[in-house]
Amino acid sequence: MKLNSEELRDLYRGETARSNRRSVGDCLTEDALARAVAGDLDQSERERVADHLVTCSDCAKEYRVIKTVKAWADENAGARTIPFPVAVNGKHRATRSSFYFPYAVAAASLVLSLALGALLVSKWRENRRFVAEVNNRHHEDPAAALAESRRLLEKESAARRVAEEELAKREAAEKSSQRPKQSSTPEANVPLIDLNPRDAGRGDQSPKVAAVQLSPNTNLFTLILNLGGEDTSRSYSLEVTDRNNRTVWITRDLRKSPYNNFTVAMRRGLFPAGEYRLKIYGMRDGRRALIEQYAIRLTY
Amino acid sequence: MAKLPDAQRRAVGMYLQGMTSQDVADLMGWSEPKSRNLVYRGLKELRKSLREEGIDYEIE
Repeated sequence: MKLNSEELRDLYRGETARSNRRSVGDCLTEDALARAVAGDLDQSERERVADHLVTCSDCAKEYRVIKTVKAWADENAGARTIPFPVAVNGKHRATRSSFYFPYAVAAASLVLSLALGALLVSKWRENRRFVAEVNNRHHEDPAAALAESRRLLEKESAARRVAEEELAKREAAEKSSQRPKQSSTPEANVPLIDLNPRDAGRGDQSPKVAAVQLSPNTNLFTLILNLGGEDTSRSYSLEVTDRNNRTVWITRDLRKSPYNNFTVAMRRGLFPAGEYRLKIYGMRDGRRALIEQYAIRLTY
Repeated sequence: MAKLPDAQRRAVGMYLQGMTSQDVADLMGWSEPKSRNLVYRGLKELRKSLREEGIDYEIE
């Protein structure tokens, strides 16, 4: 018969199993095993425990298990502080599960602590994120509101500008469409104002002002400028100035009629209500000379 | 096994129960080399005895 090391061990364990022995009352207590693992035995106790382990594979197995658990607890759970069960004088044999209880508690505490720590860290981070978010919202709100109001103002002013431009364009279009209409359509009841030099005070520096009353809806009126005597100038021009002597209108193409007068059709748009002076110049020998001067006050 | 000296008997017995030489050393308060030496010598003696009984045991 040939055995190797493992086969010999199995054979030995089987022969020394608790089930193969008549009496199991002398098995080691858990306290004794714990103290043996902890090295808390005197020499005689060591020898007694060793003698039993040699002859009891079950106690030897439990010893190895306890030693393994203790090593694990020492390494991972700081179980050095957990006291091993102290030997009791009596030979009572408590259940093995009660011996593992402190280690189980330590392991469970460790796992629970880790889980609780992870939960707390998670909640703490969540709270920090929330607080930061709220703070940011508080801090950013005024700037955001200011930027928003500025944006709205700019938008509103831009819309107003666009509306004003649109309105101006529309008015301009209306005016341009009305001008040809005004000029192209006949106009009835056009007032004729006959002005004589004596009405305006011929030769005076401040001629008598002729009052010209026109109806409110008058757009066009005609002035007949009568000359006081015969004039032989080759050409004539008319200059209209306002009360402050600023030129409002001037024409160099004025022709004298056979009735020794001039006619000028004037528009209300160019001559609003106010005082005006009309000066007729004649060209004689290449020089311009004042022929007649009229003063009128327009009221509508 | 009973023929072995006590130290060798305990060392070989615990070795055959699955304990390492370090386990044996820790329990008995020995150094590990001493424990290993006792196991080796004890197994050698045990091999002789087994061979006399007709059992060949290979020491690994």
